[in-house]
Amino acid sequence: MNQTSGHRIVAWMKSLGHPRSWGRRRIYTSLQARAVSLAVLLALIFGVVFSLASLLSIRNSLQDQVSAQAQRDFSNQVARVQEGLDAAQMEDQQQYQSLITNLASSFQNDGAVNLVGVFMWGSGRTANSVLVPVSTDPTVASLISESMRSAVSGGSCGGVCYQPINLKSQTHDRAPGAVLGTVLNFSALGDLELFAVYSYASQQQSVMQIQLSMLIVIIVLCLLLGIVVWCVMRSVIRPVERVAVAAESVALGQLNARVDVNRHDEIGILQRSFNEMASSLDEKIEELEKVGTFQRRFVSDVSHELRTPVTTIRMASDLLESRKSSFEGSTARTVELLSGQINRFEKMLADLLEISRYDAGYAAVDLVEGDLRETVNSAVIQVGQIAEAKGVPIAVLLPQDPVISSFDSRRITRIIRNLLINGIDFAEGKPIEVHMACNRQAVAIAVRDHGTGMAPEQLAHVFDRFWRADASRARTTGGSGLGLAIAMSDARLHGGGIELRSAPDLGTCFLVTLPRDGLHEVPASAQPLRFRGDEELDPVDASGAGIYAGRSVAQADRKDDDRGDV
Amino acid sequence: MLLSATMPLAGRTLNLQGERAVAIHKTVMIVDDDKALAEMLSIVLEAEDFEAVICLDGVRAVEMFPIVQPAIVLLDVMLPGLNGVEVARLLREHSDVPIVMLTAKSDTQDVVLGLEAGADDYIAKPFKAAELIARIRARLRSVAVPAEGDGSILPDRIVKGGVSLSRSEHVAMKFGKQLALTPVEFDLLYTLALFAGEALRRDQLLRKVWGYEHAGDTRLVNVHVQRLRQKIEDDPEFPSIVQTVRGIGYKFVPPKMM
Repeated sequence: MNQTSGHRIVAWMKSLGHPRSWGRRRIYTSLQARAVSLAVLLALIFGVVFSLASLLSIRNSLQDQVSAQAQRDFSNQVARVQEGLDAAQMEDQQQYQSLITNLASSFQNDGAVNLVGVFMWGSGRTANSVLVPVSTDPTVASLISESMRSAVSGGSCGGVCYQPINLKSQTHDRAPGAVLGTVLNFSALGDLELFAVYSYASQQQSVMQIQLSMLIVIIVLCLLLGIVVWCVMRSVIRPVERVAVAAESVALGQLNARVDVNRHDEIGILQRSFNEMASSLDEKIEELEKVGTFQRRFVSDVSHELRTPVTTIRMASDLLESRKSSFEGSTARTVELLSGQINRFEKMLADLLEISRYDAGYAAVDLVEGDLRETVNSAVIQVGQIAEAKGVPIAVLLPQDPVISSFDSRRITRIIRNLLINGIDFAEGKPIEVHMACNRQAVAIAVRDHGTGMAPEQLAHVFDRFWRADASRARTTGGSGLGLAIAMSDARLHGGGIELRSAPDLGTCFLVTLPRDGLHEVPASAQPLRFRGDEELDPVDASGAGIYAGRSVAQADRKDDDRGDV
Repeated sequence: MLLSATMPLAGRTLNLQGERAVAIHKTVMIVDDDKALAEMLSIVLEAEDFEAVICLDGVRAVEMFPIVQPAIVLLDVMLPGLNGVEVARLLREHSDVPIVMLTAKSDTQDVVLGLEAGADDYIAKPFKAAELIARIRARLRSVAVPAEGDGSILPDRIVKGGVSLSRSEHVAMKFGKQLALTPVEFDLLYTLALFAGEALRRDQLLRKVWGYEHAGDTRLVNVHVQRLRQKIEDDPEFPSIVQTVRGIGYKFVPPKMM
């Protein structure tokens, strides 16, 4: 399973909570939204193109139909008018005039419904006859253009002339229509020109209606399509999404996350394979864990089992040691060596056991409220002999008031003791300072030596097990090589930490921070805490990130003004 | 394999008739399944003028106890058959004998379990011979007996409010009712009562009651205070006589006479 897609879906699911950036974000983040919008867009484009094309052809065929109809009607009417004219036997002009008027009105009455009006006039080729133009509709005359008249009178269109025009009607500003014109042969008065105007408004109306219904159909179709796609995608994506969420949980370490297999299609395969994958991952990790647990148990058991024989050996050597004076030189020395090495072995065993306890997760803090200063003092006293033997003075600078906090004195004593022993090893006879400061939440204890110090690249390994800053250097104080690793574990178990700064030839400063209630983690702060005189250990350049190891901790500088009484 | 309590060790006779050995030598009962360690312990103890009796398993230890009547019991936690914690519980039912647990595990739970079962002290393996001897001596020496060189003479009777303590009789009374305290509980109460109203730190108590030279395990104090409270307080959940002083330790507040 692709992890990023899982992230994306989770991000999308989160974005559901933010309505503002919703729409836009979703297109990018949701497959479903993208599919739906794409489908709707395509359907819309297709629908519009299709309907435009069909509308155009419908309109054209309707137009053709309507104009053919108008022409047919016109020809019929013209034929009847011609008949009327041919049959007429009139003498005076008035009679002709009324004949023409009658013919025009019968044209109007018998004509098609879309006939707007008829206009008839004599071309007046005979001198003694002036016919008044007859019009059945007052607007008609104005609709007949000059070009139409000349075309009709000129006979250029041979029979019937046809000209599409725009009409003004009550319902529409512009309605399509047409003017048809022809010349009637009237022997008595010469030629008569006959024009008829037909309106195509109703056809226009039908086209509009078709257009409207098409639009509605397109919109409805698009909506339906969108819904269908949404539903389909949903049915596809939902299970995929669930798989993605489960994959996310697995990625976050929840190895028991599974999905329900409720389908038999490709998604079902995905669900099944995901479950199988998660199961096999789970099994593998469990297996590894078992091996790890077994190893840790083994170390713990070995250390335990060793304790009883070591006790016996120890007592035996103590007994020999107490009777050393009765032995001769080399035997006495042997006893001495034996006793010394047993001490060393015992220390190592204790440290190994402590580490294995941490590894096995058995370590527990025994928090008791007390004055931390006493604990620090007792740790200093415990290393007093070693320090003296190496000629390293230890200066202890503690606050004047009791520093009451909850802590496991055994572990804190061990932290300070281990840091001091480490410091003594590298102090080169220069003094070691132990500082303490506190605020409401945290206590900081610094152990600072002015000895060899360490290069930045070494700092990362300081808390590693059995690590030595200088492999060629002998462990003069006989540490087990686990002291600092244990100290770090002890500090972490308290919810605190140990921070480290060092510079070659300037010494090292270990800074232990502990929460005062022994429970809550010390809040991290960007600025590492420092005590007076530590400036020399500060990195000179900004790139000296490696100078700091461990983690930075609370600013405890303002020790006196905000000390809380816990 | 069961080693009898009469495992013969040079220069020592043991009275098996159930009478307390009249010798000046105090008898130490060693209950440990590790033969080498048990024997080494007996050698070391005998060098210090103790008498040692070895028991290799828990059931045997419970059986032998009334016969041997030791002055102190060294009890390993991990024992075949009956484990050390169980043995401590059974011994404590009939006897106030000081019990020092020998533990290979110094993890909180095991230690606390042993102490709760009635052990007075514990010593984690590996330990130094001198350390063990010091602990044994501390357990055998009542707090009420003034230490050598300590000029101050502790009072035989302490009466604070409704609580009265008699050092010579080793009897503690609360409103005229006798309290069934083990020696270490008596010592703890005696020490707290001696400094009535004053808060004593755990390390002070460890030194005064348990005879620790250096800093010890404060859990020892906590567990015994809990046990003392069970016996002396009306409501051990809300102690009124042995009170906790936050950040310091414990103090004795004399109960008011009704």
